[in-house]
Amino acid sequence: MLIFCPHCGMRPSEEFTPKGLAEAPRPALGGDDRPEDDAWQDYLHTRTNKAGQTNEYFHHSLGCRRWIVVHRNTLTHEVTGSTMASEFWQNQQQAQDWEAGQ
Amino acid sequence: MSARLPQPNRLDHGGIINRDRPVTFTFDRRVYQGFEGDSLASALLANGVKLFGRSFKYHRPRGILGAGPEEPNALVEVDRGPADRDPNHRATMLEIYEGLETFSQNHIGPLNMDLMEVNDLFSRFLPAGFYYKTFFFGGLQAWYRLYEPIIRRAAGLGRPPLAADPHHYDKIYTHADTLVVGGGIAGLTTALSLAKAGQSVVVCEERDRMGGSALWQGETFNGETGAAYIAHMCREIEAAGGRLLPRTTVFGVYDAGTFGAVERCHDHLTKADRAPHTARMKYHRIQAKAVVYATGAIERSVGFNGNDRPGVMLASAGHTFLGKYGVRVGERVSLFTTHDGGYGTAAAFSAAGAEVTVLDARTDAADVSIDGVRVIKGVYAGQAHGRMGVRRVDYDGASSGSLDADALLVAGGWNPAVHLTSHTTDRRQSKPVYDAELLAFVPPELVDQEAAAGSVTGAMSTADCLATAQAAGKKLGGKKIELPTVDQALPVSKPMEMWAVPGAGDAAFLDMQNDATVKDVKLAAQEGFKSVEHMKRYTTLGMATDQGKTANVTGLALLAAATGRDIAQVGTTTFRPPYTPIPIGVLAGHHRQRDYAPFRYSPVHAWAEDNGATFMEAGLWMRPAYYTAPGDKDWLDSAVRETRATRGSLGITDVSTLGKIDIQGPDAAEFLNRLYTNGWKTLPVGKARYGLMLREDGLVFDDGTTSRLGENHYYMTTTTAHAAAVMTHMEFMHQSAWPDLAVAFASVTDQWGALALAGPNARACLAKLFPEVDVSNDGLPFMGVIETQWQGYTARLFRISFSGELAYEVAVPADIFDAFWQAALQAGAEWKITPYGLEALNIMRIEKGHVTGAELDGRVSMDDVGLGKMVSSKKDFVGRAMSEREAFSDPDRAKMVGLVAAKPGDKIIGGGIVFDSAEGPFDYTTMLGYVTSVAQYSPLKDRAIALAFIKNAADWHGKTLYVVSHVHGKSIMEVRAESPHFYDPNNEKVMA
Amino acid sequence: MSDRYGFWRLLREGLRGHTGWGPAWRDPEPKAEYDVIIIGGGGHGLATAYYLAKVHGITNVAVLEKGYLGGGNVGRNTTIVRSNYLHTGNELFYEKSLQLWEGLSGDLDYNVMFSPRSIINCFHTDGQRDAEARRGNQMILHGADAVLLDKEGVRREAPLIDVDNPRFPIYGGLMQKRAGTARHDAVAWGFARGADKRGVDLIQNCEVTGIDVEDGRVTGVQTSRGPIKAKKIGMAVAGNTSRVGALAGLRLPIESHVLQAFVSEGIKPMLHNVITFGAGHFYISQSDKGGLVFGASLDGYNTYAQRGNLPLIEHVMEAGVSFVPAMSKVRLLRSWGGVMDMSPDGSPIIDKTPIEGLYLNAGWCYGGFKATPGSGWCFSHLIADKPTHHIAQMRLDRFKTGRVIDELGAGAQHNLH
Repeated sequence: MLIFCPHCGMRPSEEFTPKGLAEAPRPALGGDDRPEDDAWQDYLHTRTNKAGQTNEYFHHSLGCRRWIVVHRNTLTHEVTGSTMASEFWQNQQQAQDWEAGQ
Repeated sequence: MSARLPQPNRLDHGGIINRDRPVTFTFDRRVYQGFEGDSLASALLANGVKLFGRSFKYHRPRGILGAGPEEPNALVEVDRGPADRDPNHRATMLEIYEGLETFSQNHIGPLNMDLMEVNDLFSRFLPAGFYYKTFFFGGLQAWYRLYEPIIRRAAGLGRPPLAADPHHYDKIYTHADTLVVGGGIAGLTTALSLAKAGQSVVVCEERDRMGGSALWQGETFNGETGAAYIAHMCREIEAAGGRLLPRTTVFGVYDAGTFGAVERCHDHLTKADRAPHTARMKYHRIQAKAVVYATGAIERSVGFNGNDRPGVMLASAGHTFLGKYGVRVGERVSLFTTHDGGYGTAAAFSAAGAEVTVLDARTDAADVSIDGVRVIKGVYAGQAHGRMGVRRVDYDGASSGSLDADALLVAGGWNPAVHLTSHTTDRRQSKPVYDAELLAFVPPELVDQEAAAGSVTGAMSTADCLATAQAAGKKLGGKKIELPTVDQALPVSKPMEMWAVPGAGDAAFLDMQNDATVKDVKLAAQEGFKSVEHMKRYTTLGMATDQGKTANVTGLALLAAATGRDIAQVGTTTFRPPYTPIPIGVLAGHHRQRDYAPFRYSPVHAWAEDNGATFMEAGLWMRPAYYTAPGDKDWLDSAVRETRATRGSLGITDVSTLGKIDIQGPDAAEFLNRLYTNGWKTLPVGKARYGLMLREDGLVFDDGTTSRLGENHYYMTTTTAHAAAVMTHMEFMHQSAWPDLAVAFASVTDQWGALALAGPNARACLAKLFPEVDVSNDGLPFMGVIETQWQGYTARLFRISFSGELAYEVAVPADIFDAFWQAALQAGAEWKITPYGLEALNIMRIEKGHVTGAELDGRVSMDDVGLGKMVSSKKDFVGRAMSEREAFSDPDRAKMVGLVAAKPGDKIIGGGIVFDSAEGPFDYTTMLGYVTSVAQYSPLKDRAIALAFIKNAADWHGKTLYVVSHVHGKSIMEVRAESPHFYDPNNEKVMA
Repeated sequence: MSDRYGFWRLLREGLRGHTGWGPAWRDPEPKAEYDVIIIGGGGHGLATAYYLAKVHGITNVAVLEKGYLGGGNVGRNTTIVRSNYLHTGNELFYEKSLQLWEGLSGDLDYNVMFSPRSIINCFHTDGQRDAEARRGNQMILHGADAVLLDKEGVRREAPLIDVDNPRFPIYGGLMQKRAGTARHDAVAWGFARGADKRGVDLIQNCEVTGIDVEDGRVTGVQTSRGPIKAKKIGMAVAGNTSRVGALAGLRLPIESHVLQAFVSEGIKPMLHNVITFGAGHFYISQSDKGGLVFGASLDGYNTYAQRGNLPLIEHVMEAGVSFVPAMSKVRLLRSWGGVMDMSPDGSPIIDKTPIEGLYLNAGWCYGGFKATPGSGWCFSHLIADKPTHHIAQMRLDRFKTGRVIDELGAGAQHNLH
């Protein structure tokens, strides 16, 4: 399998360490969310776990050491792209705002 | 042996073997001769050998069925001796060499008198799945001790090697624009087209040379022989930059254009020709933008009684032995065919002087007249006779009769070798489709980066195969190449549908190795195993070493008939890698045994080795456990001596393996504040602080000290075990959650060497090493940090202590650490400086009540280890939210406590369970907790002490408890509980 | 005539050409309504149906399977059966399951070939030895068996193991003698036949496409073969838990990952026990047929495809030849992948859901096969409103309460368990 790293390009998958699905951002610091609330549960435990297009954290651990979010299909393993983790949640927010505005 | 031995079945001419090079070898200790270029199968057949082995279940005598990788019967052991023995070689793929020793396998007594053949007598009582229905009598113990051992001894094929593999195996990353799988004429034609267009092309061919059947079938190409035409093409491909890899099997297709292949480099060479230190095999991980499947087709048999007799073989196999090796497998040959292709083989045998009778299943077959060949139409082989070799063939159908025969060739039609096209990948999930016209599964619609060429597409004539090759080349951007004119073309036609003949039953074999019969498939259907997967698993059809290459399609066709479904509806079972079996060792390459994982060494590892250190593993690191000095009786003696020397005067230990992370930036303090449970905003420059990190789930992750070296510059240490995980965690939190923090950090574990000086004389020793630095209690107070220089290099002095003594850690660049270590030893000589290892450190840290990985096992909370006070209430941090879940404040949680043995000499067992009674009952409801760390001798207490986790820990202080270990013969040891801070609880020593 | 299996029956059928064997199970059309529907005709679903009928007398039950019976992970695993867990939350359950295994062939009238050939978990350091000793002790306190072997003990038990391994020497091993292996397909078939005989309808090629919920309780399912009503529905669809759960609007703490497994060509006996190596996360045994059956860890990425990739395969082979050097020349016959229901603490969930009448059996990670009888037994009790103490901690809400059952101490990351 090959994984696209926005920093290094297409690289073999063994350079990366997968962490799991990126479905919810970390709740804001100092927020009111209780541990049993959805915000925390979705960040740590609960998953939609779709069979199909998903976003997944990978660490380019034997490369540039960037955390990236890889856009992958869990039925086919097709990688359609990836985003720096540092930009991912911001982009998600923008996408949601854009959709809300439409 | 240079004398030529007779080879009774070898023709005087023909074949592509090297008749100038006779090769002597043995089979079951008998000496035979063949020629260079022979397979073991062809050479033994040339010598008149018919019996090659025994089947798995009924131990029926078996000969050769195929001539290639599909062979299910003829498996042999190669070489002798526990290390060299190599079981389950297919005789059809094994190339002979001078001195080759081979042995038949899986029989008791001689091969021709196998005692296990008794199974065949009882075969009527041993149908598919019989073992699920019996062996109940006597229950579990009877099964395990009586029935199963008999089955296990009988099962298995060859004998395993019993020692390490002496061979080398290499791993290679091979890159190509296009991978061509299969170096027959179709694959080569496509490869040439692509190579000429400038693509980098790799052609993998499983057999010993490129060319496939074109080499010997007798067809001509533009008037040239097949061998000459193939040689031209190979030269042209290589001239255009293509790579040809013979003896290379592509075993699997993986994601994103990755392919696994194994190249056999040694197995065909005499032992003298195998250069030392070169690889027996090479595992290629091939990355290719496109792929051409030119994998050919495998002939199938037909189900009839006795179709497994030695001497019954696929027509293509008989033809291969004749054409490729000049071996005629019989003089009186019956040839049972369902299509025109059989006539090409019949003609070849007739031309070679055999008496041939064709049994053509088709009543409406076109008349073909071949000299000396008798044709009977509308009949099928009903029964083959001859236990050790075919003698007679009964035919039935439009007419019936009996033929004397010493060989029976079967042409039941072709199965395209679609295996690799069905290894689904990210490119395509579709599976092979059934073509009811061709009566075969063919590749599904392929994607842009894939093409198929040759008979794998279902094409039958050589001309059609070449046309598909041209189309494949065109699809993948190749250059158009002129196709040759094929003359003396062999006849071909679609087969008549006949999977099994009427009356085929329990002697009509489909899976020859596993002895799955036509009747077994029917029985499976009768018992409700109607899914193709059920049928496969119930009958074991297709689960042998050949993975059903000749059997599967016939089996599922018969299942379709038995259950009234179409073959397409039944579908195939899943094809899985590897295509043919490959040695486990070749995929491991050199990463085995000592080289399984890298070693990590401290910069003073060599010094430690020279000075009596015994090492222990800590992850990948090797760390000194203890240093054996003259007079030390055992490891504990050494550790106690080191402890006493340290506590009494001065000890030195290597702490280079601790994780070290350099953190810089205006938001560094804020970052630390979010990572650690305690506060970091108030830490002044020149000070260190102990910090505790939680995982996001609220449990303790790691601990260590972090020092503030400058306004925006911090230096973090982690435990050795978690160094990499902490770094990864920090990167994750920074990049995924808080990318706005202006902080940068890098692991500097390998850049710094570090040692600890501990003991009452540590300060004096440090002062000697750094005479210009004020290391007094005021100049360098507890948790103070000074960055200075040692011989012109940066040195960092930390007043921190893990041992509980007055102690300092000093870090210098790794390159000069060895020199600094020597300097420290010199400086400390006057106080008898003593190097100590992990065992002594363990004693001291347990005495001090410091935790390590044994306590921080990923399941404990801050409170559990008594560090709950280290939480800043003013801030949020990783793990805070989850640590507020109800389970964290459960009063039943086990918390850390110290245990002291009741009397000197008593041992406390690590992993022992703590109870409040020596009488029991001992069960999970009465257990209080468990022991995590033990110092088998604490000089402080003059006996064993331990750390443990127990319920209501504080309530037990001062009381008697019992450590019970059932796995140590139910040892019961009395202990007293107390605070885990045995040594200097008020930190007077470390502050002194 | 009795349709029980056995030696005499085999003899009789052999003499008359095996014409008397009836179908192992019927192939019924789905009825309009059942008392209980079990979604998933894998090992756990079939076992649940079997025990519902046998223990609780609830026989108006349908098992709905989208493919063929036993086609999930019960049909693609390394067949290890053991009860060597540390935590009460797991050990009570797995020990119950092991006890059921010990009588299973007789109970089912089907030889599942459970073979107590023992498991040895090899350890490589003093610290690991203490941890294994603790585990062994706790196993015994929960009614299981355990023996702590030293280095020579491991060598005696398994002479082909490289206990003097030059990279990660083996200090010893924790052995559970009652552990072993079983014939995986037979387990599914035995439970299927037993359930069918007691009146359960096993309905294959019947995919559940919807779960009907009214006023917070289930009323039935929509399937590829039409709607079916039931007031109680049990989900036993590990590998597809999230997908099926979503039909009822559930979001669950599960990720799907692939675990690859491997089998070699058949060879004469070379390994008796089941053996695991901590240093390589590697485990191996030899089947009755002679194949070495082995595997290691997850590929690591999320997937629903039953296949993996080469980096993990290489890792497994490296570990294998490092610890069993003689297996280097043995040939790999087949590799495959199964989709694992990975939970955040590595332990399963057998519990009610927030939807009344909908029961969940999920999160089996690598360990579902050995759990098969225990899971069926406990899940049937839960569905019959007689929950047992064996599953008291296998709660769905434990990630909210923090009462996790984390055997490895790896924390809340699904693919680390």
